[in-house]
Amino acid sequence: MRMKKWIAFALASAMALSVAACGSTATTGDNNNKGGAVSYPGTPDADMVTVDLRAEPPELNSILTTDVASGDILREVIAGLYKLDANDNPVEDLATDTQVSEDGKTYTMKLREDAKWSNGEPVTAHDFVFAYQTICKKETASTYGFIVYENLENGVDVFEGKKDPSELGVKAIDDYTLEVTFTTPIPYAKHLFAFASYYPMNQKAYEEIGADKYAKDADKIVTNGAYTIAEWTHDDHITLQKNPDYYNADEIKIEKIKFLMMKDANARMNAFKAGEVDGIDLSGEQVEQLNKEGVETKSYVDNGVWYLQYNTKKAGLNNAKIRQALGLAIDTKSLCDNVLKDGSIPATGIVPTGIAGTNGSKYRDTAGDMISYDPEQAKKLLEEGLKEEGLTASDLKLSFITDDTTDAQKQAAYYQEQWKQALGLSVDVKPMPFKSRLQAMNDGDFDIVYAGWSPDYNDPMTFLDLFVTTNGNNYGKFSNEQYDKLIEQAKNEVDAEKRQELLIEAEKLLVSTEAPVFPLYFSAKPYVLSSKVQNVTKTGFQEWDFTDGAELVTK
Amino acid sequence: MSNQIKYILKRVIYSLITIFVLIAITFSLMQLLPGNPFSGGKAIPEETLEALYVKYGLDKPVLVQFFIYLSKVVQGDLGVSVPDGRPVVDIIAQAFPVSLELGVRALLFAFIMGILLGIVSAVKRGTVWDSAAMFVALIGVSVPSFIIGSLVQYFLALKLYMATGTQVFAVMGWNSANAKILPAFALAFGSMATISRLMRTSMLDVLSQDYIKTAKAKGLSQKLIIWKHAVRNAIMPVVTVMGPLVAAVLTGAFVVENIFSIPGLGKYFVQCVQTNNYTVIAGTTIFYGSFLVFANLIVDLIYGLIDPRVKLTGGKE
Repeated sequence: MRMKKWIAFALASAMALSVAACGSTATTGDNNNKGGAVSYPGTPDADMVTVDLRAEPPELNSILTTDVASGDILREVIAGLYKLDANDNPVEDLATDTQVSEDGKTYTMKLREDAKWSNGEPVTAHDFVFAYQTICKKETASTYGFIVYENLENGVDVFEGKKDPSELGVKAIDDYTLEVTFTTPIPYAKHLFAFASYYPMNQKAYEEIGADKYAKDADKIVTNGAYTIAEWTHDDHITLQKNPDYYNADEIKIEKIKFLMMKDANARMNAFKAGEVDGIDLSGEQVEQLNKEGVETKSYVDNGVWYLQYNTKKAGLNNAKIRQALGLAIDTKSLCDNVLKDGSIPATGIVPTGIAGTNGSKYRDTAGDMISYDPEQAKKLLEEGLKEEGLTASDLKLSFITDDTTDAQKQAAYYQEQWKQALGLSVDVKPMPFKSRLQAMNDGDFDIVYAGWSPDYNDPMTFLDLFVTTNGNNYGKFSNEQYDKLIEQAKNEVDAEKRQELLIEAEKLLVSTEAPVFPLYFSAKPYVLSSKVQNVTKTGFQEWDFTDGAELVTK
Repeated sequence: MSNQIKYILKRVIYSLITIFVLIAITFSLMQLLPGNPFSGGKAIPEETLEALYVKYGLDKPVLVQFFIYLSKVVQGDLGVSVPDGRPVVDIIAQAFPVSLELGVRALLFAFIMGILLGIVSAVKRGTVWDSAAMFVALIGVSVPSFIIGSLVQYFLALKLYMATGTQVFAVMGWNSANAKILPAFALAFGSMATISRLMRTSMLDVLSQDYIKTAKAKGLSQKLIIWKHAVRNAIMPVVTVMGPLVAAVLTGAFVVENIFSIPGLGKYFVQCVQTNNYTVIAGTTIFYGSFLVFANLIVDLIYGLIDPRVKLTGGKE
């Protein structure tokens, strides 16, 4: 029976493949990353755009939320002090006339007086005070609470119960004037103000509905943004309806947005082609397939970085040269072009290309390239490193842990091959489920792990402070006094240019000298839109946004 | 007390014990899962993690948690999903009717088509009809539902739409009538095949019995012999497997629900294990467990109704 099953499986697969092959050879097209001759018309609805969110948003309570899908919905339905424009730059939303104190720590903002919650109450400075005080309370148990309490004055003391929440660095001077005080000057404060953890919360609604039930259904949340939640069928779809009371309603051009929750990549593509959805994410292979048909696909740098993280406590891996060698041995360009195929680019440092630098520049442009593929150098470094440690190549018995997904295993096989080829090292690959990998990382039970990081806020610091001695994400137990000092200095530096120099110095030390991690690639997200919709914002910090001039194309 | 009621009572008590053991085993097994419900790609500050444990009552000793949980279950409260806080009862109340509708559609299809195919191939044994029916059954038994699902989605939903310009079958969702046919078909195909093979064997067996020969000798029509005399007896083994089939269809719907983006319970049943969502693991297991125990009980009772030779005996006779 088992044999029969396999034969049938093979037959069916072959059938499916041959059909797919027929489909793609029918239209000849070039294989570059654009195309454009052909497009799909999308959904038939006249006033609604339908896009895929991939999964149910798990938490729409802005005080508790952490994930991307929930962020996509909240961005459309909640107006904060600031919002991100189409280029991820923070622009005033409810805040007007922001005054920053001399020391860069205190922000005083006037609020718009025409903003309303969906329960009819006005949006006031007290809504921000209530939100920040609530998120900073320990019993709230907000996973992202630290983004507020570690930054706001007296935040840590309030969290630990040593000070009353009223002493937190947030004050309502009057109904429409808010004052926020940070413990250190924070150059990315306006980015924080655009982040969900810094959104306002209507106290009356929050208490009436109850903290444990808030935002669990469409009728259990109040909103104040460009859209309201009209319908929410769990695991199926969320429909947003334009909010006529939003102060900027004239600029919101799409009447309704429907977010689907499709779980299967092939089904997404089928639904897109069948006109059931207007926008979906793509895999590398789907990009190739669509480009061959002549369909234009797009992609954006999602500001994620993926790297090898070494356990610096393990024999051999305690040596920086050996760590460096293992990274330099991997041809990351070929990885991106031939394995990932989704528009990801070889990493040139730990901070991805989309992260902001000073004065509207990108940090990466100033910091420059710090690493690149060099198998010769890798071999040399490995020999030197082994000599320093008094080891031979055969003593180096390394294992590599990674996720048990198809994509992760494909990559692992590639790294294994590269290490064998460039360094003659046999590395044992151990795929495991996500939670097991996390457990192994936590327990320090690994040699090399494939891991990644996506930014919490738009500043190099969100990547660089991961590797200070005390950071909970520093699974490799890397500890370097000079590095810790540089990061500490940068955190207290008021002058933005000087701060950036400190960060660049720290990053160089991290990736080019010490190498407790070796960045492999900056990931990209390819996607396709139907011809029905244009000017949709899709960036590393805004997976979907329809409030920057997105509109339906009238035919 | 009549034997029948005694029998039913006994079965109900056994069922309750089964469910208690199920809860106990599930509860202890899930403690062995690596990691915690809150671990993700990013480390959570120690103090926040403590606060989360307190919030969801996970800070108490496992045994205490178990008894708190048991006392809640008795009151019909299955706790809240960790870490997103939706009541598990709400999740089941919303997702299960969808899975159930899909399952019932699939089972009806599997049952009717399976029986028909089985009868046809048994009666027309050795003919082209027999071969064709058994070929379909072979495919059904051998090809898993995710392949069938993907194929029918690609050809009958997408390609048919592209060829005709009208949406005959929807690619995804559960909101329109034309979205419900393909998933039910994909889910039913395997069970249909099992049923038809079983029905064929059973029919062949019955058709060679003496009383069928007697019926033929009496000059009864072929139609009457098959429908009145043969099918009623031949269907018994099929009814027997319906219990396990209900289990297979309901718990196996995950893949089909995934392919067709159907908001059913399958996703929760499978994903909760990967995300250490303890309350959902326990809640869905108890729910499905009770459901299946109940389904088997019903099948046993139906058995007695269809075939009077089967006595429902309890007690010591």
